Amino acid sequence: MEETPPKKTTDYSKAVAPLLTVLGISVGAWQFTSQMSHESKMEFSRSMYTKKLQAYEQVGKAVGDLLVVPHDEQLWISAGDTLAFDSCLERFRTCYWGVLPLVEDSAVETAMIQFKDMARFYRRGENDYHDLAREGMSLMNACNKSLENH
Amino acid sequence: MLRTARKPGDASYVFKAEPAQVVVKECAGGAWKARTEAVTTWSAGGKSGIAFGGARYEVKSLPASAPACKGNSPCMRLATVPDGKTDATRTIYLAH
Repeated sequence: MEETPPKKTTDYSKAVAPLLTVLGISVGAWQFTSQMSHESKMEFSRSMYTKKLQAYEQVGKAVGDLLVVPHDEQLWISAGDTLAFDSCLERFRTCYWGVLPLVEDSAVETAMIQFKDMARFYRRGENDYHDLAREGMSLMNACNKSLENH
Repeated sequence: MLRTARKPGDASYVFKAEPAQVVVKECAGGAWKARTEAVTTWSAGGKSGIAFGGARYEVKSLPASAPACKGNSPCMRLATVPDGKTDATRTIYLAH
């Protein structure tokens, strides 16, 4: 009687175990990286929010200072207070060029431009206090919305 | 017809209601060069005004006591709507 050669059997379990180990490590590493990336983004977003808030507070202070410079009974800028107004306007321009460009969105940028122009028109005696106050409120509302939508 | 005061460096703008157009005179090469622009109206974001020469202007009637009006009445100001922070606002004062 002729002997049949023994069947070749492959022990897949020996190959599967390391594969599963590698797969497990890869998934773990991916989850870790993904989590870190998410936390990093959240941290950046929190940091940006804080910077935005600080910048908008500076703008609010500059706008407030401009709006409390006295005006005359006809709501025009008082001739005797133009120096005070100019000094406050310098502070606003520092925010305009130095602080806001880092954090502002397009709506705040537009409101900043409009307030800057209105402050100039008010300084020249072409627009009255109501116009300046209205643009100031629009600017602060734009800042508020920008923070809400952050 | 409205005309701006003329001094060195300024341009002259003569507006006509019918047809709606403006004749812009600017000093170039030591001589006045005139060009005619069609005037249209615009309205956006709760604001409105006129547009000519590729720029949009907001229109405001100013009191005669405003320094720029030099006692003239009626007195009007056209101010461009700036496109971005570095875009300087151009202002044109008009008086009879």
